[in-house]
Amino acid sequence: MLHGMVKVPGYPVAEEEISGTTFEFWSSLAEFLLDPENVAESDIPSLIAAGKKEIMQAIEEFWTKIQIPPHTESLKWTKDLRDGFTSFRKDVADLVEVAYGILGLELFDRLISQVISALANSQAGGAVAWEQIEASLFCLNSLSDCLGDEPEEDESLKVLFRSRLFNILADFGNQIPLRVRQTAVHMIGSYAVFFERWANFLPTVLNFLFVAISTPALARNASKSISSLCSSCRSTLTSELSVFLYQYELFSATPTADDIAKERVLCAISYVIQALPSESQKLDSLGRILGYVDKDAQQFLTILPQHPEAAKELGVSTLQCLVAIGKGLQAPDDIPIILAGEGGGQGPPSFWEQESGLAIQRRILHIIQTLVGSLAEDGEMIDAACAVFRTGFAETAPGPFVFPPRVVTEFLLERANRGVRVETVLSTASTMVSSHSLDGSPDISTEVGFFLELILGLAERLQNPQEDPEMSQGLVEFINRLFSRYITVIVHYQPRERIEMLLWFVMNALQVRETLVKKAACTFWASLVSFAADDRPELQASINSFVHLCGPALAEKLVWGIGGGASRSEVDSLTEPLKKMIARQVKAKTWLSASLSRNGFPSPNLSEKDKTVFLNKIMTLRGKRGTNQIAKEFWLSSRGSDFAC
Amino acid sequence: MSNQNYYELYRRSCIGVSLMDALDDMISRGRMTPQLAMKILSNFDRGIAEVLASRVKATLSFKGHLDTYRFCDDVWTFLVTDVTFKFPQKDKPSISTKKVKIVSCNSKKPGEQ
Repeated sequence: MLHGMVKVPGYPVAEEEISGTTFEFWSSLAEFLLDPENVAESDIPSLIAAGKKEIMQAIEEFWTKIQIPPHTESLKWTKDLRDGFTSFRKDVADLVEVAYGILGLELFDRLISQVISALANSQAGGAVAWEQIEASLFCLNSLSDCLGDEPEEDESLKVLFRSRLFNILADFGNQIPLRVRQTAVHMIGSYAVFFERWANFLPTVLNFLFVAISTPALARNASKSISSLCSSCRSTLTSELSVFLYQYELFSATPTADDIAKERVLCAISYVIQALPSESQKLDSLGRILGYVDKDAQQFLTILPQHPEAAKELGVSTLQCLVAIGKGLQAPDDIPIILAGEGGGQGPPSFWEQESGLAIQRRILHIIQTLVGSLAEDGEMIDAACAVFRTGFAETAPGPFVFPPRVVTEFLLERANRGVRVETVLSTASTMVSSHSLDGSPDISTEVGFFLELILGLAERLQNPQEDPEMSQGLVEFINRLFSRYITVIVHYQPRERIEMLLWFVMNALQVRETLVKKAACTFWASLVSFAADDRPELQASINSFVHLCGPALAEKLVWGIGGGASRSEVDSLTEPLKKMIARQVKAKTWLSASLSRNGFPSPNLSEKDKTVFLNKIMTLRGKRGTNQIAKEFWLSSRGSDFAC
Repeated sequence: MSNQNYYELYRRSCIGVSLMDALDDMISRGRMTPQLAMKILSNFDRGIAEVLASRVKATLSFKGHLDTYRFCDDVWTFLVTDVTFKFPQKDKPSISTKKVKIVSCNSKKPGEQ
């Protein structure tokens, strides 16, 4: 009966609604067979054999159901029906994945043999049943995550990728439904790991993908699959670089070249460049892809006077292409990391810091400055330019996108001084500081000093963090990054009054309405009150003087927040600096006691006894985890709410 | 209306936390009684359970190493390491992370059909 329900005539959802009701049964059956319960041991083999037969039959029946209808048929469907059919196919994909657990290699073989049979039929003079091939590829796609490290399915997959299928698909003179090519494109990308093991099959599929990117409907998926393959198999593809560059040149020259597809292909080519064995070998290919980007930049300048909107789009897209190249050139995560010895950052200049390597870097910088300079007030251009610089921050070794900190700082400060996208500037500066806080990274105290001047100027202008919460958050988060390596820049700054002004600014941030500003401020104060530099007594003394200056006010702000002034969800954040203060500061009890002694503070709902009990409990815990629960109870009592969740 | 109890664990989700903050605010300003707020939260518990069960179709798959598994008081806890999340949407990149803790409660309460 259940097989009959699956075989009901008509397209699922659009013409019949019965077959979809059986999914749960077949999934449950497959899961049951994986681990049969309440079945005698002796009965299990025959049960599994019978079950497998039924499930395989069900998969074949669903395979028939998911075959795409002729275009003329689907045109008559409403959007809801099309969505319903798509959803049905996804459910079949899920079922196939579950069924693999019990059917294993047999399922693969069955699907692939269906493709080969359909192709063989065409050689015998019949038409190719493309809807059947698409259904098989669709099911195979859902199995890509099921394979282990050295699967036996590889032999079956070799049969598929060795067949004529992808050569036929690559010939766009053949009338093939678009969906078939779309599914094939997606499937190739899903099996990137197979191609890592069997790189000899790459040329065929890559040829198909590069032809596919010229078709607008396929461009994005094809470029995604190209990127996936190039990332996984970069070392084996270095000999194909010139072919890739040629293909990109053809593609980018087409009027319908999709921006996202361009970025992905450039990223893909950059992956392969990254795998070249020596830096000097990368020069030529890098020069060529920068040439394509240069061309777009020149086009931008040409159309800017007459068509500023279109030029801006092109400008942003060009910068995104640079970002994609930068990301592609990043060292992969799985390469050995060479631990830095003493004096990290010293030694002879790298390839990218002299002559021909430096020329590449200057060329990239020139493109950025040309584009940004031509549309100086445009926020999107600045965001994209900052994204280019960020691609170099993650690198531990010199590279074309690892710009000198001085260069990046100059660029960022110039943007900030014009008052455009200051939040992006602060965020980029924060990332740069973080990346230069790691062991062995170059010291950028000078550049941090420049940013500190900017921060102080912003704080003086804003006065109150509530004036511009987004900027205040960026400002505080930048200072938070200084604790691990650059706190001395703050400590040694003169005049000291400006630093005190900054501290009061961050203090007031504890009472801003916006949660993110408050959380950033909590992180700052937690770091400051717990800062320990036992090997640097002078630094510790300076930090202590700041803490003692701010201690009483900090205690008051924290008590205000935990005593009902902040939202319930912010109590945990506020408790962090409180715990650190109690654990590390001798005068913590004095400060807290002073703030709690005020009549009616932090809440008129609290008696003196409530406050005393609260103080004693948190002091007894000495900053341990239980403080969070005490703080939450104190918040509830302060608010006077009589429900606890 | 059914007296069935629903899990309160979704109150700790972003949407649940935001709802509670908003209700706290309204109680503080005297615009709502705590009892009404409790009722709203109970409705939230029911609503989110029903919506997640019946209307949410989004799926994702993930793969990783099962470091620890625990089943106690009808609650499963899994600690999974080196996890990759994959989305069915073609434009969404996969996300990798070192460690994930999954706490699962039975969607059906004991005795429920």
